[in-house]
Parts: sequence; structure tokens; C-alpha cells
Amino acid sequence: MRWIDLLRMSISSLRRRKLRTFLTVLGVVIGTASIVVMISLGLGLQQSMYEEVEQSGGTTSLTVTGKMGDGMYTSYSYGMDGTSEEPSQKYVTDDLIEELRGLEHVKSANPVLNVSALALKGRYIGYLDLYGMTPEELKLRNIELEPGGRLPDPDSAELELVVGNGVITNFYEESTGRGYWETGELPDIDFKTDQLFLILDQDAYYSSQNSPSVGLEENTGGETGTVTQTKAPKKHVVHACGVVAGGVDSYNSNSYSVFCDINVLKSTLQKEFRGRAIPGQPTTKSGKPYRQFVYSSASVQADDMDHVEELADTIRSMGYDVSTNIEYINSMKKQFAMVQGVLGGIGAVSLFVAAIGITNTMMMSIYERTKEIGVMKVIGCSLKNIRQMFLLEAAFIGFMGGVVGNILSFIMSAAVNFVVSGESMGVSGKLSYIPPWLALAALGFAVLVGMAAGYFPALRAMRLSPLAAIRNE
Amino acid sequence: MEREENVKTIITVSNLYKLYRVGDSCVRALDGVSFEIREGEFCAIVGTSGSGKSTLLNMLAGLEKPTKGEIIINGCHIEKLKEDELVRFRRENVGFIFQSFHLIGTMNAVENVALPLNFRGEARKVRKAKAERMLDLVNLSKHKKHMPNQMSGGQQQRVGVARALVTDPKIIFADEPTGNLDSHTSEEVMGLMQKVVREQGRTLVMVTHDDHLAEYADRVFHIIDGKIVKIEENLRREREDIKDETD
Ligand SMILES: Nc1ncnc2c1ncn2[C@@H]1O[C@H](COP(=O)(O)OP(=O)(O)OP(=O)(O)O)[C@@H](O)[C@H]1O
Ligand SMILES: [Mg+2]
Repeated sequence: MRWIDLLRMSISSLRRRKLRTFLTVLGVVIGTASIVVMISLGLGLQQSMYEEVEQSGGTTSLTVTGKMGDGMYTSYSYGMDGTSEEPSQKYVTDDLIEELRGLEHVKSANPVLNVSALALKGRYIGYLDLYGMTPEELKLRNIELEPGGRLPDPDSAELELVVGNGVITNFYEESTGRGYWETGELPDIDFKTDQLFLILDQDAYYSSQNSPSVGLEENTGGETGTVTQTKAPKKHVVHACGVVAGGVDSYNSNSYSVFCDINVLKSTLQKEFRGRAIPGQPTTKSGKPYRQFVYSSASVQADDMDHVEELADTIRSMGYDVSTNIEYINSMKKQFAMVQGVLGGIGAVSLFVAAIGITNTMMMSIYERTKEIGVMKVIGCSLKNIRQMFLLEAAFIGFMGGVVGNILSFIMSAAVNFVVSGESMGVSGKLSYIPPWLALAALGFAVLVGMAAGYFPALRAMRLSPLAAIRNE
Repeated sequence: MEREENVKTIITVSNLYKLYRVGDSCVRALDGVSFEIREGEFCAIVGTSGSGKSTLLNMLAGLEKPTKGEIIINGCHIEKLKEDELVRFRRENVGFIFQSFHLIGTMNAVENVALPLNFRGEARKVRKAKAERMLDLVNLSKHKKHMPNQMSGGQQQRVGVARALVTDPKIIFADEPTGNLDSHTSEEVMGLMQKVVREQGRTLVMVTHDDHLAEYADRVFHIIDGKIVKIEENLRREREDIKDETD
């Protein structure tokens, strides 16, 4: 028998019992849709994680930090307390960067200097989380800028900033202390045009702020030492050369950071703190600065994702802390696999119920058609053809259910994404994501389930005795 | 009688037994049957109800296995074939006409007639052409698009005859083909079957309990309690043959 004829017969026998076919297909539709939607939720989460990882350097990047007590890089500590110079201390210095560049599988290694600073603009004041990076490193970060923006010029004498799209929410009115989160109104600052005053020496700023009021009173009390040194800190006039793309509420990994060129930042710091310890820099026991400039971290790019872990181990054995996105991804992957397994399992249960429905429908159909099957056998329909006919019928139920189920899934997925994006801010990407392979796999799975469900009935039809069938009046 | 020697034997049955065990007792549905049927012959199997006619025919068609004995059709021991081989054997050699027509209720006349061709994997156009030709032959040109429930019993049985003939089978088996028809329609269908079988030189084995209808056959096997008691040569064919030769 020809395939086309088999198909035609199967379809025509399904069309004969439209309502029953419809109900059986409906079961498969619900089963398929629940599997697809459930898995799509897991994939959506995974997808947004990947996007996040991609934004923060991708899967091949490693972040190398020195090994120290945890207080080392908090910018406000002068390192007076626990920073005794033990040989186990490892700093990220230019020497280390050179060393890292020499390692196998390293594509690039760049220092990163992270300091916090204050910015003043009119009546507003804000904290900036300032990242000094090399031009190469800034490029690697793939920062998406508002039109007209550019990355900082490494040869500029002044600090040029790239400001995150959410940084403005860190500003508040200096007099009232109320900012965006309290008032709901954005400070009247346009980074693209306005100049800012940048204060790197925060302690000096605060003490100079406090001295007029507190200092006067306290002075009479014979305060010694600290208050005397209230020289106002240098206010650097800076401007933004670029703003990260996105509204205030749309979050990405660059939203709350400010970027600048590392060498400009370094020389600015060195100029300002000449002879003193730069905040965040480790000091010797005597409070003298460490002889080499110490960076916050080093950003290393591996040549291939597969070498990341190997490279991380090498650097760890050198005595540094390494964090990679791979580890994050791997741990997340495990979690997502579990979440997807649970979600998919819930969906699978409904598809299993649908499969029972298919089996039931097929059994009924065979009972009804006992005579017909017998006659077909007598007039020469081979056993194989009979089996194929019923398997095809069941597969077709699965196929239709799979197709409609997929359509339903896409609609539901769109609805879920629409509701979520309308309701909550700050969720990047989609909550539900249906890649083509998922749709195809679900379709294939539905067909397979249909055929599995139809297998037993098909065998039964095949084994029907033709004689018993035609005797059956 | 020199003609007889040229005619090939197509069905040979020797020492055929069929026992049914019902509880403790044993029913001998067939009790040592032997006969031969020649190519192009129209044979009738006649007997009272329960004499084993259907059992014999079903075994000839390979629908049931004999308890003992041999059935050789066209040189092939069909009692030794497996089920799927039997299906292929029927598909290639046998046409079947049922007492209660057994048309597929969801197919119209043409589709019903074309069904055996469908199982043979013939193309749709070819199937349709052959089926329509067959329906013309059984005088159902006007009912090609009719569904079985839109036709009378006689018309349905003619569709059944067309379906049995459409694959050009060597042998046609018919189990009481007129059992569900009134006597006038029975005559009509019998006449048709006889005509087609003669014209196309096919072998027809028919079961009936009606002695009158058996007169259409060339030979009549009388069966009682599973035994063939009498084989009756019907002289009509001989007479017609003589007439043909004198023409
Ligand atoms: N499956 C079976 N199990 C037990 N006994 C059976 C079976 N089939 C047939 N028989 C018995 O075999 C005998 C012959 O049956 P068969 O159907 O061949 O009769 P028949 O000549 O065709 O009768 P009718 O003219 O009524 O159709 C009967 O006695 C019947 O009871
Ligand atoms: Mg009978």
C-alpha cells in the first residue's frame, strides 16, 4: 500500500469521528502546550542569565583579584588595621598583568581600578562607583551607549566618564537628603551636557563639610589632630563623554557604574594624593603606600571557553582569587536543569494523560471497526499495513495536537511576556522563551507519544482474526 | 472428454479434517474431505445448515487452519503459510464475496471496489479506472457515487462481486452470496456471477444451501456432517459447450 493512501485512509477515519478526534487532540494540545510553556519559562530565565553574562564580559572572561583580608578594597579604609605585610598577600599590580599576559590561553589581560567617588552638580550630590579601565577592556565590555556617546579618550588630560543609565538615581539633594527613590522625581541633571565636580578624596570633603559647624564647636573643646587638617579636597571638573543606553528603569550590568580611562584615573589619583596613601591602596605597617600601584582586579580573557577553568586553576595556583562566569553559569545551569526538569515533568504528566486518551480513542475505534478490519484482511490488506494505518492515525492525532499545542504555547508565551513586561520593571529579556528547537522537539515528542499510545491498539488490530471479525454480525 | 486433459487442476484438497473442541465434546466440522477443482470451473458446495460448508470454504481461503490434511491451491500448500503470507496469497489469487456484503460503510461504490487495488499499491487513477470498469460490468454505472447505505441489497452485492473481481483473481470464493437477497435478486446476482466467471474464465467456489441456485454451477458438492457425499456434474455446461462447438 502506498504511503499516501495509508495517510488518506487514516485521516478519513479520523474525520469520520470528528468530535472524538477533536477531544483527543485537545488532550494532546494541552499536554504539549504545558510542556512547552513550562520549559520556555526555564529557558527564559536561562536566556536572561546568558544575556547578563554576555554583558559582563561573556563566558571567556576571568576576574583576578588579590588575596587579602576582605577589608582591603573597601575604598574608605586606609588599611590601618589588619594590613600587615605578610608574604601571602597578593596584589594585582602591573607586574602581575604582565605575568598574566604571558600565560597560556590568555588572549588579553587588563587591570581594573575601582574607586568610589562623590559627584556634585548644583544642589545634588551623588555617589559614583567609578571603574577605571583600559580602552581595550572598555571595548570588550560591549557597553551600549546612547547615540552621540563615545568611550573615554585615553589621551585626554581630564577624566572623561561613561555614565550608567541608572546612576542618576544615586543623586540626591544635598540639603534635604532626598533623592529619586524618595521623591520619585529625577534630579535635574543631564549627563550629556552638564559638567560635574568629581571628588576623589571623600574623607577630606566630609571633614571640610563638617568643620564649619561641628569643627567650630569642637575646636573650643580642644580637639586635636583630625580636625586641623580640613583642607578642602580638589574638585575635578569632569564631563560625560557617553551615557549607557536605556531608561532609568531598564537594568543592565552597566546601569549603576561609571567608567573612565584607567591611566587618567590613576594619574589623577596619584597627583591628588601625592605623598599620601591613596584610598584603597594597601599600605605598609608604617602607613606608607605600597611601592607599586595596586589595582582592584585584573580582567583576563581566555582564548576559548573550554580553557577558562584550566586557566582559572593556573592563576589560583599563583595565589590569586579568580572568579569566572563559567563557574556561575555552571552552577546556574545545574539549577536551571532542575527547574526545567520539574517544570517539564509537570507538563509531561499532562501529556501522559493525553497519551492515555489517545490509546483509549484508538481502542474504541478498533472495537467499532472490527468488522471493517476483518474484511480488509480477507480482501488482502497486509498486517503491516493495518498496523501502519492505526499507528499513523495515532501519530496524526499527536501531530495535530503538537502543532496546535505549539501555536497555543507561542500565544501563551507572548501573553506571559506581555503581562510581565507591563507589570514589573527591571526584568531584562523575556520570562518565557521558546526557541525553534523546543517547538520542533515538542512536536516530535507529541508525534512519538501518539505513536507509542497507538502502538498497543495497532498491534491489537493487526492480530484480530479476520474470521472472527467477519462472523461478527 | 479430451478437453479435460488440457484443463489444469487449481485446487487440490486431500484428507481435510477440522475438529472443534467445545468443552469436553469434539465437533467434527470436516471429516476427511478430498476433491479437486479445475481451472475455470464453477463449483457449488451444498448442504444443510451446520454441515461444514463455511468451514470448508474458510479453509480454502486460508482464513482458518485445518486440523489435518492438505490444501494445494495453484501449487501452493496454503495450510503451511503464515498469516501474513496468507494475506499476500489472498491479495494475489483470491477474491471474496460475503453473504452480508461487508462493504466499507464510509466509502462509496467506486472506493469500495477499488479497495483491494489500494492494498496492492496501485496508483489512484488506475484504481479508479479499473473500479469504474468493474461497476459498469455489474450494471451499476449509475450508482458509482452511492454509499452502501444508499443502495439496495442486490446492488450492494453487485458492488461486492465487482470488488471480488477487480484484482483479476484466479479464484473467487463466495459464502452464500445470495443469502441475504430475495429469490428474484438472487437469480439476478447468480446470473451475473455466472456470466462474468464464464467470460473471464475464473474459478468460482460458492457455498449455498439452495439446491436451485446450485444449478448455476458446473459441479455441485453435496456435503453432510463434514463429509462430501456426492459430486454432481451439471450437464448444462456440457450442453452449452456442445452447442458452442456446433455453431
Ligand atoms: N469456532 C467454532 N467452534 C466450535 N464449533 C464450530 C466453530 N465453527 C463452526 N463450528 C461447528 O462446525 C460445524 C460446521 O459449521 P459451519 O459454519 O461450517 O456450517 P455451515 O455449513 O456453514 O452452516 P450454515 O449453512 O448454517 O452456514 C457446526 O456444527 C458448527 O457448530
Ligand atoms: Mg455457513
